[in-house]
Amino acid sequence: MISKNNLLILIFSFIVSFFVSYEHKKYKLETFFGNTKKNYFQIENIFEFKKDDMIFDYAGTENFKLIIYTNNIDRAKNDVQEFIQKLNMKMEEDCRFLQNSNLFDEFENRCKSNRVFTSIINIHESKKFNYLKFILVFLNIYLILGLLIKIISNVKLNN
Amino acid sequence: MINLFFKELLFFKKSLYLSFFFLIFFFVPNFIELNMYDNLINIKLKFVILFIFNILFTQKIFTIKNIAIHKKNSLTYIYLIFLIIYSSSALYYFLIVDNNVFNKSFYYQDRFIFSFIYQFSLLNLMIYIVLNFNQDLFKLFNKVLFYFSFFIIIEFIIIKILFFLNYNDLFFKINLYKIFLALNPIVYYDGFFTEGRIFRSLFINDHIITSFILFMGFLSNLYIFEKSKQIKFIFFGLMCLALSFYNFESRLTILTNLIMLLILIFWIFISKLKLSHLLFCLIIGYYVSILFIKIVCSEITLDPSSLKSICKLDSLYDRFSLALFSLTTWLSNPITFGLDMLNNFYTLNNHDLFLNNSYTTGDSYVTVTNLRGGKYASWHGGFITYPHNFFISMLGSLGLIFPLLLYLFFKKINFKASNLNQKYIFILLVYAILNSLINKIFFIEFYIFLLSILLFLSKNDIKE
Repeated sequence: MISKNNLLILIFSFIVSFFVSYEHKKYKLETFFGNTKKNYFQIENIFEFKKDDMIFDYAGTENFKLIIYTNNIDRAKNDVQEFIQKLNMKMEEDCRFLQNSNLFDEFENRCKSNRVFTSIINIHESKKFNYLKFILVFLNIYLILGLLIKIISNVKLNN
Repeated sequence: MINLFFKELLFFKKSLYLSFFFLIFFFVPNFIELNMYDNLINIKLKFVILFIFNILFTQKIFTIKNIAIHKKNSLTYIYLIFLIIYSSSALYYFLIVDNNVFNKSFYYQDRFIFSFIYQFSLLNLMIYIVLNFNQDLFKLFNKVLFYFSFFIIIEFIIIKILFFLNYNDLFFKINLYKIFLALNPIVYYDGFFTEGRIFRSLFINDHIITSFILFMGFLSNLYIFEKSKQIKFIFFGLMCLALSFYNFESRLTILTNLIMLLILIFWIFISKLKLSHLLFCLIIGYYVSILFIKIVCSEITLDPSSLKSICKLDSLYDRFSLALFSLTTWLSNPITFGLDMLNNFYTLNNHDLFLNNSYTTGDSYVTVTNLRGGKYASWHGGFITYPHNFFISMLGSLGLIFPLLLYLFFKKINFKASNLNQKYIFILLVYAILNSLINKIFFIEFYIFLLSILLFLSKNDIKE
């Protein structure tokens, strides 16, 4: 017969692991952007125009990956375009300011080459439920809480 | 004098286990630092020694007869939890993390071995303290701290004299500073009378930890003074305090030291509060201050140029953002990852909500960490770092066990400091926690856990 504590732990572990393993967003939109020259402007500015659902990752040399988990793929694509436009405008503005102030040392190339372009666009359909994650999270929480209860009851019993 | 020396030596020998931990783990982080490289795995000799030392200790616990059977059962459960922590972490890494896109420059295997040995040693240290708790433990802690900070002061004076003579061509014709820089640039970066001054103790190799130990030395001298009423300890203490402010490059260390000085000045008033309430207020106060900075930086645009520069340079805000980033990573993956292992799982973060502001700079910790490809760090400089926050770090390490431990701790320290030991254990604990929240200091967990348990167990000393 399963004890009350064990049952509570079981339910709690199940709810938490179910919740974290369930994917609410249907699609994952990956957009690679960047340029060929070493460009400090984009990393300084990419966070300024990001929206809440945007995640960045590094994709090698001067390229970055913009990731959006979404249910509305068209809106996500528009957001990406808007983001790239704003980023380019800001980078040109910063670059021209440095050029006019004669501070253009390490970026001796023209401001034009600091513009970023989108290259590969990948759309992945997310798995609705990650079974492996569910099992691992569930086992971890259940076993650890179970052992903690055992320790507490062992201490209580001997006091 | 010889008698005193042998008396002290015997005192340390009595608690050999604890003395060893102090030396090898915290006070001399580079003690027996001999690296062995096996492909991607970097094995340090000191951790091998530490591991063997702790295996022997564990074996001793289970074979010793005067430990009751129910205690041995509880200890078995604790070791089982420890095994679950690390097996979950490894399984999660190899089955859930997409290893094709994961940062290969930050080696999981290397971190895993280090973390396993460190947490295992930490766990055994806690067991040792619980089984052997007495007043001598804090006395030993202070003695080690006193001797070690005194040793650092002597080292500082010798180095200063050496460089002074050398710069004035009174001692050796070769520039010693250049030799030191060539041999080990991180040990003595000290542009005497020329560039910025940083003092890194030879034994510590880090200026932040050097300042940290010196301030702890100041507190330890104050404790010994209050106990013995000998004025020489005030003098040594002030020397430690002055030297702890020497590294002005580390502004966050200066900030932490100043906060601690304020707590010491107002101790007469704040000691009227219960320790649990006081600690709670300090932690809440820290988060409220950071939130205030965040709101000011995000909302108010009265003078954008100066405000932006303040917010951009604000390392404290950077650490706070990193802690939140780590928290969101853990909330969507609420398992136990092992000590300081959460940063290996940043790639699983799908919520960068807290990075949505224009004040996150390209070279900040949080930006570099956020770009989880990792190779970004080596391309542009910087490195992926730890959560920079004890609470978040331990949440990632111990998972749901940590909130439970925290609850038990606050429940147990629901008393006012009634003796000198409790006062100084609490002050040292606050200093260690503040440093963990504001500054990232390696092996700080060791200090926090040690002092927390001493404070936790000191309740038994209160006379009803």
